[in-house]
Order: sequence, then C-alpha cells, then structure tokens
Amino acid sequence: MEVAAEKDILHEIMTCIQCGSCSSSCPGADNLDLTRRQLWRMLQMGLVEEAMSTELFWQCTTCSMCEIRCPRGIPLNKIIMELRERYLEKNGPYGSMQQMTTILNLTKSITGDEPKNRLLWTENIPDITLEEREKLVKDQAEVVYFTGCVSALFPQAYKIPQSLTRILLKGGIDFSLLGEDEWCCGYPKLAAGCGEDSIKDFAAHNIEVVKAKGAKTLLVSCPTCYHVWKNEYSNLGKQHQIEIKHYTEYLPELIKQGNIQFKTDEVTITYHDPCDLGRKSDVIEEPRELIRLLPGVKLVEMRFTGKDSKCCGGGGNLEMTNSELSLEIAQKRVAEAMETNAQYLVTTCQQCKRTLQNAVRKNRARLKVYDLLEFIAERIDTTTGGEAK
Amino acid sequence: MNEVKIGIYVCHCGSNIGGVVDCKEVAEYAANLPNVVVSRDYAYMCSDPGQVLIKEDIKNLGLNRIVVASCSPRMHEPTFRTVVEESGLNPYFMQMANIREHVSWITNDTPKATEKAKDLVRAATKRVIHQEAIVPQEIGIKRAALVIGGGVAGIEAALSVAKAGYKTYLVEKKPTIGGVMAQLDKTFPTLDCSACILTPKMVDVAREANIELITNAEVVGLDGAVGNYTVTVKKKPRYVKDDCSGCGDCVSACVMKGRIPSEFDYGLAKRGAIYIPFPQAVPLKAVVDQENCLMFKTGKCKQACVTACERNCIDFSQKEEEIQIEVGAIIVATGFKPFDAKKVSKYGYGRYPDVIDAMQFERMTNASGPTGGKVLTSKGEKPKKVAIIHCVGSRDVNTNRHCSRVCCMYSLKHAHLAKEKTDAEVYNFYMDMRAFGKGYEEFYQRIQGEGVRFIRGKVAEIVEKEGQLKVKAEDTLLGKNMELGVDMVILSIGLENCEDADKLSEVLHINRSQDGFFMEAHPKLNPLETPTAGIYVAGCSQGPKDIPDTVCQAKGCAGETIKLLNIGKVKLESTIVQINPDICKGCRLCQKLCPYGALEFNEESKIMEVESAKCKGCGTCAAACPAGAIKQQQFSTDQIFAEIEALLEGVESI
Repeated sequence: MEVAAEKDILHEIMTCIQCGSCSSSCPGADNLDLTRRQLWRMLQMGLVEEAMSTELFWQCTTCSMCEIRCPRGIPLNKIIMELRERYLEKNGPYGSMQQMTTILNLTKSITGDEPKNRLLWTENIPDITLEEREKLVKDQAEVVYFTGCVSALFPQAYKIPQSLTRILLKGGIDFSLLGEDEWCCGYPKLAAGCGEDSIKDFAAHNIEVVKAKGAKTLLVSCPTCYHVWKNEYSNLGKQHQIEIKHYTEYLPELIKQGNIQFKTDEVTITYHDPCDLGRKSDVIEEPRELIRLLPGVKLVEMRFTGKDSKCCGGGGNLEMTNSELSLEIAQKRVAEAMETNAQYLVTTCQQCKRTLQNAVRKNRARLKVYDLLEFIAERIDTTTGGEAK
Repeated sequence: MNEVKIGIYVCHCGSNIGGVVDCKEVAEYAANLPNVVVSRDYAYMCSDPGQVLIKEDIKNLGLNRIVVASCSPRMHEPTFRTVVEESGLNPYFMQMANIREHVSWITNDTPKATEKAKDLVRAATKRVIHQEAIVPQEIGIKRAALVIGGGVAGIEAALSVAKAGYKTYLVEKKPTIGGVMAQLDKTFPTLDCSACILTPKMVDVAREANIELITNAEVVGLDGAVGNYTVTVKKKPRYVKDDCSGCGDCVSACVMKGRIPSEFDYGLAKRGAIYIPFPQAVPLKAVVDQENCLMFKTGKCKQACVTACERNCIDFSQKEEEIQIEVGAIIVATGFKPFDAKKVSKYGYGRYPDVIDAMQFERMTNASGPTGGKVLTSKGEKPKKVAIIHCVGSRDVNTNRHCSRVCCMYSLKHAHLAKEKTDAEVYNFYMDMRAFGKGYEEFYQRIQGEGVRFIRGKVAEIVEKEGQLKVKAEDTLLGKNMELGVDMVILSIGLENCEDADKLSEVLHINRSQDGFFMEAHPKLNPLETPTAGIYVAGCSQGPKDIPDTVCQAKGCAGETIKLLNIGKVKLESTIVQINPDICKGCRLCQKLCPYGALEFNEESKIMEVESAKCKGCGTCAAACPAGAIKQQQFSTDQIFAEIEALLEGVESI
C-alpha cells in the first residue's frame, strides 16, 4: 500500500476525513453499488487497482457537487479525471467512448457530421432575411458566436442558436459564426480520459480561426464550451486575448438598450443553473438579471439553486456511458422543479435542456423546458415585429 | 575603555543544532577572531553546567563580553543576561547569535549551515565590542485593571482581580453581564443548570466594592503601555436612570411589547422597545432599544413607559458619552459569536421552521425560556424523531476550518435533553467524536446507553418532503447512503470570534490568528498574554473552549494581572531611544512617524523629547532622523554597522 507521491493529484485524497458528505451529495447516490467515499478510501489506502476496477469514476456527471461540499476542499473532480485517464492508458477507451473519440478525431464534431452541416440550422431561422442569412459568416467581426456541437448539429437544439442569432440581429450586433471552421471544443475527449494534451490541436485551431476574424469577444451559448474556453484552454498554455462571454453575461446590456419589445403577459418560471456555468464558473447572478429584464416573468427558485444547484444528469459523458443513470438524475431534478409550480423550467445550456426535457416526457410532467435563449426569443413581441416603438 | 575580552559559547542544543551544524568547527573558527579570549562548544548552554562554564570563564579569564550562539533570543536571552549579570557584568554585554531557527532548523546541508553559523557568530562578535552598559529605567504603574467582556470569563477574571484588592473596571457591550452562558440551559457533562451556577457570580459582581461595572459600553481607544494604560470607553445611553429598581412596570406598558425578536431568546420570543434582558440580569435595570423605540423612530409615542414608571427613571435626553479610565493591565474576554447557520444553505436553516440551531434549542429546553422548557415543533407538537447535526460551521474549509471544541459535547447534552423531554428517537450525525475533557468520555457512553443513535457521516443536505424533514447522509460505518425522515433538526453550530474582533484588535494593538481569534504571545508557554505586554486574553475570544477551560484561563489571566499590579512597577524597554539635545534641530519629522506617540516637541527649547514610558523601541525615529540626533539603545549606528560589515566580510560583490 503505497502513499501517492505528493506531486500526484491522487495524493490530495490523503486529507479526506471519510465523512461521506460526497456520497449523499452525489446526484447518482441512490444508483451506485458503492458510495463515493468508499472510492476515496481505496485511493487513500493505495488500492488504486481496486479503485480502477469499479465503475464509480465513470458513473459521474462531473457536476462537482461533492467537491464544493467537501469539508476538506479536496479537488475530487480532478481525481475522477485522473482515474479516467489512467483507465484509458491501461485498458483503452471505456465503452462507447471508443467510437466517440474516433469520430471526434476524424471529423472534429461529436456527431461525425461533415463541417458544412454546422450551418444547417441557419436555413430556417424565423423572420430573418435572406440577405441577413448570407452574412452570418463574415471575414471580420467584433463578436464571434461559437455555436458548439450540440446546438449546431442536433436538430432538437437548433432553436437555441437560432434564437441567439435573432436577438443579436435585432440588437444590431456586428457578429459572425465560424461555420465550417468551427471544431468541437474538445471537452468530450477530456471527459473520456484522453487527457489535456489530446485537445491541444482543437484549442490551437479554434483560437486561430477566432483570431482570424479579428474578434475581441467570443460569445458562447454552451456552458461546457464556455468552461473549456475560459479555463482549460489557458491551462494548456494557449494564451489568447479573446474575451469569453456566455450569452447571459452579454445580453443584459443589449436588452437594456430597449431596442427589443417584449410580451408582457404573466408567466412563472424556475431556473436551472448548469453545473459548468454556475458551480464551476460562478455565473449565477447574470442569468437571473437577464430574466428580470423580461416583463411579466416571475422567477421562482428551486430548493437547490446557484452553487447548490442539482445536476441535470447530462454532464461528464454519462449520457453516453450510462443513459439510465443520467435519466434518473434528470428525473429527480424535474421533480424538484415541479415543486415550484412554475410553468417553465428554463436553463442556459442545450445539454441540460435535452436531458431535462427527456425526463419531463418520461415523468409525463406538465412543464415546458426551454433554454433561456428560446424563452427570450419567444417573448419577443411579434405584433410589433419586436421593434421598440 | 579596558581591553575587550570576548568569550564565545556555541551550543549544540542536543541534536537540534549539533545534528546539522558542526559546532566544534564553529567554535574553533571563532577562537581566531580578534579580541576572542576563549571559544567553546557545549551540548546545552542553557543547562546549569553550561551556565557555570560562562561564569567560571568570566571570573578566571576576565571576560567582559559574551557571545552565545544558540537558539532564538526569544527563548534564552533572559537566561544568559542573568548569567552575565550574576558574574558582575552589565547584562547588555551579552549578544546572541541564532544558529537554530535561522540555521539548523531550516536546512540539512551541514557544510553550508556551518558556514552560515560562522558568519552569524562573527557578526555577533564584532557587534558585541560596541555594546554598552544599560540600566533599564523602572516606573510606577496604575494599580487597577480593566476587563473587557462580561461573560463567564470576564466575570471570573474581574472577581479574582477585585477580590485580590485591586480596583477593576468591567466593561460589557450589552445591557447586562452573563454572556452566552446565561442563555444556556444545562451544562455538560454534569448537567447542572447553567443559570444556577452563573447567576450567583453575576450577583457577586454587582456587590463587589472593587468592581466598577460599566454596561452598554465599548472600549474605543487605548493609549500608553504596560502598567500605564489610558482607555477610552464609549457609554451608550440606556435612557433609564440608575435609580431604576427593575420592577418591570415600564416593560409591560411599552406599546411595542411583544413585537421585537428577543436577542436573549434567539428570536423564539419577542420583547418590547423598553425591556429587561432576562429576570436575573445584572444590573437589573430596564433599557431602551433605540432602534425600535417609537420615540426615536418617529418622535411620536404616548410614552406609556414614562407614565408607568413611579420613580421617573425614563430619560430620553440621555446622550452617549466617552469616559477615560487608567489601568495597569487589561484582560480581553469578549467571547464568541455563534456561527450563522444560514450560511450553509444545504441544511435549510431559515427556510424550514423545524430546522433550528443549537442556541435556539438551548432557549427552548430552558424552563424559563419561551416554551417553558417544552421541546416543540413549529406545529406545537412533540417531535417523534430528532436529528442533531454536529460540526455546522466547524471543521469545514467552506466555513471555518477549526473545531468548535464544544459541539460534540453539547450535542450529546441536546440528545439527552431531547430524549428526556419528548421521548423522541434521537440521531446524532457526527464526523468524529471528541470527548477529551474530564468526565466527557463517560458522558458519551451514558448518552449512548440512553438509546441515542450515533451515525458517523456528515449530512449532505436536508429537504422537506411529505411533511417531514429528510436528512441525507452516508452512514459511513455501514457504507450506505440514507435518507432519514425527522420532525426536528438541531444544527450544532460552531464558534467564531466576537463580532467586532477586527475593530478591537486595532484599538488594542493585538493580533488575530488564522482562525480569526485573538492571538496569544506563545501557544504553549505564554498562552494568556498577548504580544502587547500587560494585555491578556481569556475565554473564547482566544479560541473556542468549554466553560471549565474558559474559567481556568480567566483565573490564569487574573493571576498574571495580580502579579503585575502587586509588583507595582515595570521596567522600561532596554531598546528605547535617547535624543541628543545638542544635535536635534527640532524638525519634528520623528514625531509624525512614531506609532506610539512617545515623542513630544518642547516649545521652549525647540527640540524633541522622548516619553520613555511610551517608547517601544521600534527604532523608526532613529532611522529617520536626518541629523542623527536619535540614538536607540542596543541598536546604535556603530553596533549595526559593525554587524553588517562583519557579515559582508569575504563577500566580494553583491
């Protein structure tokens, strides 16, 4: 039983007091064979092989709830990632990860679509002109909108980038898409345990194409892309002078200008904080500020919100490796949302939206699940064409 | 001056120094330095034989300067000064070189450590030649003490000092003394009634002729030094004259009666705008809560209190005043602030009415409390199941890293009381049980024997479902996650330093340790004094502790205070400055820089003068004086330059 060397991230577990706060904080707690704490105990005792033989580090959405509640402040998420990397090194890709990483390396997208398909969603954007549509990809622009694979390539999510496009056009913003030049941010490879080095070329390419447009600001609608751009790319030593903004940090100023007219009928919504945006990036107040700018919209908070927000089940590639567990986690979050009696469950992440919507169908719940972008777009007063008088 | 004859003594400190530094080599090296008559190394210089070695050499070889190369002067400078003094030399002819903390404890590299030790010994040897005889001045002191804070620590300390015959001022921020202990129901592990053992002490304070009790007041300024402190105290108006008999007629008459959450009952009961904090309050006098009194809020009130008071005690014209008191010593006993459980949102405190904190439970179980001692849920029913959660706001990097030292034991007490009063099933969720005090482990076993269930697991969260509070945790001993439905949750909150600790530390020039509590001069050997001489710290303001430890510390501080007051005089710092009147031009630059206000400008002679009692010997003025008129004893220019030049010998360029 060797104690992990101090430089080794696994050494961090040595200060664990085995209190088990992580175990029952885990959104998947009820469906695991062992508790989270037991995994840490194995590592503490140097039983790395035994720890690696469990499924626990794959049965994880990397939501980080365990980590923020850990009384010893141990970087549990990093330890999970380390175990995934060690697993991959020893046994090769886990389950369906093989297929995903192969596709990613080949096509630079998680679906295996060819690059030109990244613009399919632009073909049926409501109320924009052909001229506007043809100018969505420009040579130079102040702002670049990094669409992300899910929004660009899953028809179910098209409405999200479409909504942001409409809002930006109405606000008169000089922006461009990357179109065929956009690559996956690289996160699925990190979550598969491929390690930081495996996304170096993804980072380099994406930074280069954004810089080529002369953009100062990169706008993101996916919290995971946001997290990777903001934190991981700079960890890789890829310094870029581009300002990264999630749309919830960008739109309040635009809407305050008053150029867009909104509906005023009263609706009640509850807001789900995506883990990558709230807990991991501390963007908690901004989406709420944005919601408050919408007339007639009443926000009711769930029991667990902000940094304490529960996971949707959609993170950490869990949907690919264990879709049942992912769904069960989502169902619990939907049940929590139902307790607020809100009409809408609004989030700011296409992946949270997808998983929560599946759970709503499964639960046969009367709850509309929207990304905040779709919600804002739907609140634009079409009787006035959305233009302020 | 006579010929300088130096003796060098290199200490091994067992293996502390000797294990890294080649002490013999250092001693041999030093023997060849100028003016050195003898140079020795020895296992323990501070031991009796070590001391004798120095004394014998002084006698036999006529040494007149001594260098000891050993530990930090903080440890043994007084020891070796005494040795020198006992041999008939002025004690300031001794210089220490720190080759332990500055050398052997920070490296394992013997050759380099030995070289550095030689450098330090050389510097001390060159410096000691220039050292001068000093006879520290002594001054008289004010034979009175100030105790800040009227909780159990302050009460005990004040009573001890006062009963030893010294005038004692006891300043309390609240309208009554008693502190947190007055709010507790029972005390662990004996379960004796907290009020029953405290209130006689409170009455003693009121009766003790040597104690001047100043309530509703705060210390806002401090001047002077050990033995001669001038303290400024801000007295908030009570709006009730001292003639008040505490009859309570005004309290029942107040139009705001029953509308303001009572601090004493932790919000479980309500009071009026004029109130008596609790029946055994000392002084037993009403007080007006200015924030909530209609006379102050709106200027309009029928003043029912004024009508009700037969003695005409109510006086809305009272003003805040500042008084100055003069004392020789100060005991800080400002206590603690219970952790605010709202900061841990996962437990739903403030959201769910049946999630209460430990202080609320104390009031609830207290027979004179708001429920008459009944343990009831928000629905007014006896709970069937109760969960007690340890370490809320303790042992957690997200709140406070320190252990509260009391929550294990008071949680046991609460388990006992909850069970006794409701016959509920009680579950204690703990991380580790710490039952270290006298009778504590036995108490733990007793409570286990009463059928309380102990679950080793930190609670992750609490949610309300199906009319119950669901407590989620892992039973780490079974390795199973659990969700326990209960009717009441008691959060065992931790202890933080008192609310205005930062303000007070600034006023008193005392430091705080990382945990936020006031810092003692030395954690083991000087745990009662602060680094500011004559200021002592007792009870929870120094760190979380239980009542027995608090009382011990309070009495210890009282002992130190009595010792100081009894001697009746203090020696001034040996490092104070002197101003050469022939050189000083009266530019007054030094006056602006002195942090202690020790320098005064003499309008007649137009030069600066030092008030020795205030000078702390920091040297700021001496360094700044453009004319070089200020000389700091023990740190004169020639001494410091000799030291620096010796250190730089052999260094070709920097």
